[in-house]
Parts: sequence; structure tokens; C-alpha cells
Amino acid sequence: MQNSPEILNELMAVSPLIAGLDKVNVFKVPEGYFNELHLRITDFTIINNTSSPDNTNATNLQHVPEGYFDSLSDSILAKVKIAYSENTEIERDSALLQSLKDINVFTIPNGYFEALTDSVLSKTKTSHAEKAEEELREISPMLYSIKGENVFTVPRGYFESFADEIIEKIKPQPAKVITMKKRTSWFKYAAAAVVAGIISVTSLQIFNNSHNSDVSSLPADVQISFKYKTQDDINNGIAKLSDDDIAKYLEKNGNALDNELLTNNADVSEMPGTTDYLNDANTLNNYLNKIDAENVGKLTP
Amino acid sequence: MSPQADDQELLQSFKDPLTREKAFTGIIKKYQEKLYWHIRRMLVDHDDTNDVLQNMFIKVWKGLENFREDSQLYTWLYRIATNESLTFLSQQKKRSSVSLSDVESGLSNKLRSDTNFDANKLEWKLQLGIQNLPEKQRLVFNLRYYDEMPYEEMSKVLDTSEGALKASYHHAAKKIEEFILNH
Repeated sequence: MQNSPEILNELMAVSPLIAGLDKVNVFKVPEGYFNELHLRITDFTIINNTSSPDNTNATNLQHVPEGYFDSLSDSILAKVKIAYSENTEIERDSALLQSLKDINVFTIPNGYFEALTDSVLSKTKTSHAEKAEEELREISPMLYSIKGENVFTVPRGYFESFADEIIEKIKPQPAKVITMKKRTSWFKYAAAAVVAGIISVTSLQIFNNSHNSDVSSLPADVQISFKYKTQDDINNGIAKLSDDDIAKYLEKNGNALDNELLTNNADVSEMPGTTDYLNDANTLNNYLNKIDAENVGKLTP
Repeated sequence: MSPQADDQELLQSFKDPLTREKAFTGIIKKYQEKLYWHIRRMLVDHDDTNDVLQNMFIKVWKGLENFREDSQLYTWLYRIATNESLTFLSQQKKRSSVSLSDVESGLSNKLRSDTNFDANKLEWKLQLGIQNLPEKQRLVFNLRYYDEMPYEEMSKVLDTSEGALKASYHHAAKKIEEFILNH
């Protein structure tokens, strides 16, 4: 018997004494044991699997009846069926037992099997909770000890009414219905005729005016507008306006000014932020004073 | 009835226009408290929580029709609640033009302004410690500590690997413990 060099080296390192010993097998087996071993094993297996007295002779073991293995599975299955066919057995042994067979004297709570999945799942869930608790106890016993405390409070009845509130919000709001008064058909035609009349008279007037270039027949403010033909004319005109004229114009048309236009043109870089208003109640006044001093001063001539 | 089977039944009856509202009420009633506390622990204030919870359920109503039933309703709802809470916090940050750490200290201040606040009590120190954590760690800690959510579920809610979540929870618990001991 020889060892591989690695194993021998390893053994040398561990115990040079053992490594130096000759490898001698002190155990002996009967002569020819291994040559006949397979026959002995086959012999043993067949003796245990068959009761046929003809097969006890070891020399004949290798010979089985023709087609034995082909029909072996069927014959085993047939025996199993007979052995486990309770009906046949009970029917044969006792008709009384057969009649009692389907009567169950044990009762289970109503809906037990329906709820079984639920209870198993809830136990699985508990085991999740247990795992989480176990983990926490390992990481921090202190946090584990204060786990059950809830410091937050909720208004009374909050959860009871919450679902109803949401349902109310998601319900489509009924559209506002405005009932229209029925008008007679002559009213429709009369209205259409009036509108058509107004349009034709106005267009005729404008057409005639543009041909005759007679601005004197136009309203006074329209006549003035004819004076301003270029951008320079408009700029000069505005420059000539007095503060009173501008104030009167704003008084009359101030409401029509577009807020969005104002916001877009405003310089927001200097404007106070949301937090400034929270920190100082005088923020708005300060800002307006600053505008007065810096910007309005510049605008006035 | 198992929670899962129950969800399936609720989703099934949600598909029928005749039972839709009833099914949705069932979903709200089943999950409102869990989701409320999940949001409340993130936002601290009840009114903010109520706003976010209502908005999220209105979004759920709109999105439930397209909900893919291969994922769990429970996980999906937690995802929405988490996203809505984080969006709320980031909007709050934008509105007041302050950094996120200021928002977090704002949350601590909200805790301190609670009428029942007691700085000497462990449970309030715990809350302060939680608010002192970075946002993601706070979420992980809350989901594990209070909701006892398995890491597998949590990884679906937060889109993070289970290993990273475990590490995050350990760090968070240690940080909170340190906070409590030093305050």
C-alpha cells in the first residue's frame, strides 16, 4: 500500500515515527472471499424475496422461471391491492362494520377547515413578529424593553369616520344643472335679425370711413389714436402725459391690468422669502419702504 | 379568512361597479390604521398625516383598477404611503427653502411641542432618536420595529436589498440607543 507524496509529507510533518513505519495489513480474509462475494450477496437477496423452496440451492439461483421478472411487478401490485382493500376485507369479515364505516362520531367546530388556512397564516405572521422581536432583543435590549409605548394620540373617532370621508371625496360631484327657459321660435329669429343688422350697419360705416379717410366722423378717442403711427410717436405721446393723466387712466382702467403681467415683470430677486415674513412682522413694510426709496424715486422725473 | 384571500375578494368585488364602493371601504378599513401609523411616524403631526393618508387613498382609488394582482395589495399600499410621505417632506423642504436636516429638526420640534411631551421619559427620547436618523434609516427602523415587516416584504416596499435593509436596521437601532444614552 502506498500513500501519495502529499499525504506522506503531511504525515512526516505530524509524526515522522508513523511515517517511517512499513504499511502492513494485519487483517486477513478467507481465500477466494472476494471472488465469490457477489454470488453470496445475490443468494441472500433472492432468499429474502422469494419463498420458493426450489430456489434454495445457491447454484441454481441465477436461473429463474421464464418471464418471472416481466410479471413480477403485476403480481406484487395485486398482492398489495388485496392487502389494502379495506372494503373487500371488511365486507368479507363483517357486514356490521361495513355499515358503520361512514358514521363519524367525532365533531369539529363549524367552519374549522375554512379557517384553518387563516389560523396557519396568522401563526406564520406571528412568527414574523417573533423574529423581529428576537432580532431587536439581540441588537438592543433597551429598545426592546420600550417597544410597546405609543406616544402619539389620534382624535377620538378618527378611524371610525375616515373611510366615509374618503368615499365622500371620491364620489363624482353632481354637475350643476341650469334650466333654460324655453323661448318661442320667433324670438330666436328676431334676435338673429337684430345682430345681423348691427353687423351690417357697422361694417358699412367702417368701409365708408376708410374710403373717405374722414376721421372727423369717428369717436374722439379713436380720432386721437390716428396721431400715433410709429413707436416713436407713441413714446413721445407717453412722455408728454402728465402725472394726473396717468393717475386718471389708472383709476379708470386699473382693474383691467393683468396681475400676471405685473408679477412677470416684477424684479423678484429683492423680494422677501416666505420665512422672512414668519421671522419679522415688519417684512412687508420694510420692503415697500425700500421700493419707495429706490425704485419709485427712479421712475418719477 | 386569510388576509391574502381577503384582499383577493376585495379586489374582485372592486372590479364590479355595483360593489366597488363597498370593496373600497373594506380596503380602507382594513389598512387605514397601519398606514396611518406608518405615515404618522414619518411626519409626526396628525393633520399632515391625515392629509397624506387621504390623498394616498384617493390615488389608490384611481390606480386600483390598474393594480397588478401578482404583487400584494399590502406591499403596494405601503409603497404608496411611503412615497407620499417622502414627497410631503420634500415639498415641505421646498416650501420653506430649508435643508432636509432642518425639516428633521422641525420634526423633533413638533415632538417637543406635543402637550404630552416629557423629555425624561424613555419613549419620548426614543421618538427624538428616531427623528434624528437619516430619512431612509428612519423608514427601515419604523417598518421593522413597529410594523415588524419581514425584510423580504420591506425590500419590495423600499426597493432595497434585504442585506442592505438588515444592515440599515442594525445601524439605526445602535444610533438610537446611543442617542437615548447621551440625552
